[in-house]
Amino acid sequence: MIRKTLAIAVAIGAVLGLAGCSGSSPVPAPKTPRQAVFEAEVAYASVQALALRYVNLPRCGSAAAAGIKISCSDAGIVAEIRKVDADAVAAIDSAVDTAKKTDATDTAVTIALKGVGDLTTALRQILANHGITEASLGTR
Amino acid sequence: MALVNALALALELLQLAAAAADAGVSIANILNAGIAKVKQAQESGVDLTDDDLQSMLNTIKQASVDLNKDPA
Repeated sequence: MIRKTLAIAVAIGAVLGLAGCSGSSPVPAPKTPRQAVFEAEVAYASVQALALRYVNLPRCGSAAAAGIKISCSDAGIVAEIRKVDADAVAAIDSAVDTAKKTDATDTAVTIALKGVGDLTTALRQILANHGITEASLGTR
Repeated sequence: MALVNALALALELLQLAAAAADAGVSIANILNAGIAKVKQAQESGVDLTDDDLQSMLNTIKQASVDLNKDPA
């Protein structure tokens, strides 16, 4: 039981580490499956927020993008983001369902979170590959 | 030994997460609010609820809907 809980902590630590948080608050190791799933949700939501800022930019080549100096969003990259996001939302939905079950095992939660972690990494990698950071998008 | 290694790795990963500084304000706000909620649950001894998990899921789903809208 303890080992399985630690495995969850490792999985979530990886997710949060890959999400790249600000460093202002130390991340507590999750002690229950619900805390682990919640931390995975938070990690994905943070990466998703950055993706949303990019997607909301005018599309490159559009009339709106041509008249302003800020960067635009590439339709191909937006499509990549949307595909990963759809898969991630389904994976998180499944992980939440698993954690809500009264008989949920640590193993089941850990397996569910592996998928969430992989997709969080995938979205973060898409953004990183194209230099999409909060700094590159500028202030709101 | 596996238990010790897992604990060390978990600590290393969590310290890495805490030290990473490439995120901006909006991302930091999401992370810090989530971290605070987990800390509160751990300190109070009252675990997160189904509603807590569902609320964050709903936030993610709404952002996903927004992701699929094209800018005006």
